[in-house]
Amino acid sequence: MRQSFRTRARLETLRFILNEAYMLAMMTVIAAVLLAAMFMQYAHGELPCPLCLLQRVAMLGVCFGLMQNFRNGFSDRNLGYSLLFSIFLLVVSVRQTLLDIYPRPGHQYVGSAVLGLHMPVWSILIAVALITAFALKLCIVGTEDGALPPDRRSSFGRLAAAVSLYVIALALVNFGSVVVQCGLGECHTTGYAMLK
Amino acid sequence: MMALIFATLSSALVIGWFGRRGIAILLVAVTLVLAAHLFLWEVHSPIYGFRMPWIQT
Repeated sequence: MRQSFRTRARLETLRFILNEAYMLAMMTVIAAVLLAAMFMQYAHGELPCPLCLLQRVAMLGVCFGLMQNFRNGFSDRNLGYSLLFSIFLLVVSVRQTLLDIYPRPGHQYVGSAVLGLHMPVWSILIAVALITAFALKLCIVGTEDGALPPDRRSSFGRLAAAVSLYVIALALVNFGSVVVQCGLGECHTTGYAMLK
Repeated sequence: MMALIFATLSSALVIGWFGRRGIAILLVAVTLVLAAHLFLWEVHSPIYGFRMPWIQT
């Protein structure tokens, strides 16, 4: 009986650690994707279109839900915010792909292809991967509603804080970049509005 | 409009980091509404509306 209790307690601890690691891995992957997009913008001069910028908003929104888990405790509501933004990412990227799928004057994919796929097509794959990852998390790890955030002094807590701050920095850099590119009006891919 | 969306989103992330959960959630909800509005405005065509006649179904 006591052994069964210990085994169950160990399994619960393992489930909690798996949940934390899973969430942190998701946030790290999204941060890497955003960094790659910014590299293409600043190093290769490929300015993002308005729908591309909305896809960045959606990815940062997914990170908001994940980050809340590490700051204010794990909650199914946070999962809901991330899922909402994942669905928004899917809707925007599918619509952009359908707009540009048949090349015609004024409508073709913006930017260069990566591994043969253009950015909106990659965004569809990312959105589907995110929704699948959340579904798998619920199937395998289950819910951690009400669980406390990791101890901020622990190595995992520090790592989560570092990734969260990195995502905040990415959002702030993107904000500055959007102001320079679009000003307070419409966004164009022909140049930075504030630098003309 | 895009600058406003990024401003509200960045504010939500920063305020959420400092533990003001209620305000952060309000700001992220505003971000989603503004982003959805801008998305609909961007994809609406004066000729085709929301339709995509170049796609055969």
